[in-house]
Amino acid sequence: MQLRLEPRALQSRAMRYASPLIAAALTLVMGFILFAALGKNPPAAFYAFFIAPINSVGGLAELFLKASPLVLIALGLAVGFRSNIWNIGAEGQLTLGAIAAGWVALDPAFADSPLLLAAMIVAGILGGMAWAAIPAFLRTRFNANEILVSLMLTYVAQLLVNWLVFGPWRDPQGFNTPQSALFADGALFPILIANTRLNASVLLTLAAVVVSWVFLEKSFLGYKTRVVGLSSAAARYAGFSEKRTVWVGMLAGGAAAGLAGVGEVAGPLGQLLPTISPGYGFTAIIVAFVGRLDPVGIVFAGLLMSLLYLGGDSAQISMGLPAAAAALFQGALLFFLLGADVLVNFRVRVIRAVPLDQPRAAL
Amino acid sequence: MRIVNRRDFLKASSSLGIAALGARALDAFAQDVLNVGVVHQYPIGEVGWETQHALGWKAMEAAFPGKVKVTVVADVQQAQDSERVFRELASQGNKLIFGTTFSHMAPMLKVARTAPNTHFDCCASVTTLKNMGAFEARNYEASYVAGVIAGRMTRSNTLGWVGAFPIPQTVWRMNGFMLGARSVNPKAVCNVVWINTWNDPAKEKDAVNALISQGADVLAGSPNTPVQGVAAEERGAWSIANCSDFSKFVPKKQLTGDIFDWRSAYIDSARDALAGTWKAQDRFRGLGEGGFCAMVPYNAAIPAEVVADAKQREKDIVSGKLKVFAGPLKDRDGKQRVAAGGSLSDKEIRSINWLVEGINGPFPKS
Repeated sequence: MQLRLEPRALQSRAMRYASPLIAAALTLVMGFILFAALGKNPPAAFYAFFIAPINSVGGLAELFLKASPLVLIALGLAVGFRSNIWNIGAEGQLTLGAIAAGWVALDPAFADSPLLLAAMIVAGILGGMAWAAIPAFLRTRFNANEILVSLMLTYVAQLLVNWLVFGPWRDPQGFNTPQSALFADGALFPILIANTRLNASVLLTLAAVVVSWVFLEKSFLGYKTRVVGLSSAAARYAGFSEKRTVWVGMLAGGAAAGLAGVGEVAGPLGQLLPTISPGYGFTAIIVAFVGRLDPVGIVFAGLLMSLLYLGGDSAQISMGLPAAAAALFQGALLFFLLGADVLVNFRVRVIRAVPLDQPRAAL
Repeated sequence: MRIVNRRDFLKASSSLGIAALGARALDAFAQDVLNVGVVHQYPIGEVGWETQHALGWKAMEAAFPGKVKVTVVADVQQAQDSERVFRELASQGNKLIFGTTFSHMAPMLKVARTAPNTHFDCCASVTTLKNMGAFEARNYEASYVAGVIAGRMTRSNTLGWVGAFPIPQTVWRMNGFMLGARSVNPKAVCNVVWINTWNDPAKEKDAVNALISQGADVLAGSPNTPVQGVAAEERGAWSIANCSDFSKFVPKKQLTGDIFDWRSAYIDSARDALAGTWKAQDRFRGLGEGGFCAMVPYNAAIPAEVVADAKQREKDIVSGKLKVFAGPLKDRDGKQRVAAGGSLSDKEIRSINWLVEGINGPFPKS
């Protein structure tokens, strides 16, 4: 017997809705076995993972705080991914956005300016775009592979921020420890809900959801990028510029990642550190695909991913679950989600094998 | 780690609601037990930084059987996440919460300000609050003793150092090592290669090979993995362990090592918290009983008079007779840092950003 995946002529509408449910069911089964094998009560573990982290206002605030940069970056990346522009370097673009915003925040000339935060936002977006412009330029001018260039630039960005916080931007009062001075209050996003860390950068993410939905679904430019992604030959025939698509795709990702970088340094961090991002730029790639490159889907995917992070810590605290087991469970859920999505575009066909050495007459 | 009755209770309970209610009820009447939270930045391995902290809180558990309940959260890598975890631990009724690394300081400061009835203690923190203490090892004392041995054992008069990041903790340890070596061997020099990571086997091995090619026959360094020792042993060179005892991985050529011993940091803090006498302290301790660093047992291949010398130095350091950063002391650019008769203050040690004479190689600094 053999299983074969056959492409569907049309996406299966039923599977579009059923595949997340299939994934959820498989995850529950897998989680049940995993937790039971570790000697933990599976229902209590599911509770610790999915309910406990968000059954308070503070928990919900943490959920949105964590989801915000993931959603923001994934929205930007989706613009490129839809047109087959593979920007893998959002992590580096985020770092550059954080550096640019930090540069403004630490400059005494801007201190006490009411426009300080606005200037940081603009600087951060430009910083992220500038970092994304390098692979865009090399791709359009020399046809250099943007996957490699954008990925490698992530490490360059990391070294750059290291050099800054170990060197010229090191906090003079900080015992020579590698971090910048703390930003002034005017350089931080205002807190939206008292006694939580949820800050106004979440509103920028919400605005980005609307903007990207209009761009991707309603604008002519968004349509053109999609055509380039679906069929570059058809796009060329229609006179759509592929170069422009590359630029739009890369810069959208860079701008979003740069803004997310501002959200981190002007939000929960409040200063520049040797490492700015806990891998948001890479996780956002998963978020974009789990969200099927759709703005609304990305919001749900970002919230789910954020919940998984919070749930992993919560399960360690309340159940004594090992960190590795929490990570395994998180990975399984994502694996099943992306795996089940195959069913949207493919159908599974069972084929009975006929052994080659069997004489025909025996059939 | 967890008390048994709760785990069994959770196992037995079948519904979510009952499990949640039960957990709360148990917490409510477990008042005589001190709940302690510990946050690790990375997973706890067999050796290394996290392991030494785990030995610390395990010793605390053993010291107060049934009185201390530890909840450990590992692999919380970034400041954004550790702040949330600290707050969660505080809100779940943990009355004593430990941070295990410098990068826990900033998030812990924020949480400690909003949880005045919870005690916090952060390893390598340079700031304290009324309810947040700090603990740090004077491991330049241990590295000085290791340097004495290295200085006596080298044939080429060249030592090698694999640098991680140029922060005060690594700089004071490196300086202590060099001062120890020079105290017995004025011709000794130490070459440094910076690799900008705490843990990267490939880079560590390359660095060791480069240092050996430059003539080094005793290797030490900051990345807290056995890789440097293993690479040195392959080339027939001696090595000094860092953080943990690596003799399991480096069976022949590990001379000694300067390691962390955080047991008293955890035990003393828990004892005070249990007695209701906890006060925020800035604990900065070196070798000796109740200290935060220790020597790995000396290699049997070291001549007896060298071992005797090293042990005497250990004693003199503990008694206060020997000060590692005693004057007159010049940095490698010739600038006088300590006048004759003086010694560096703790504040100067904790922000040290200069190298002593004899250390060769680049030094990235502001």
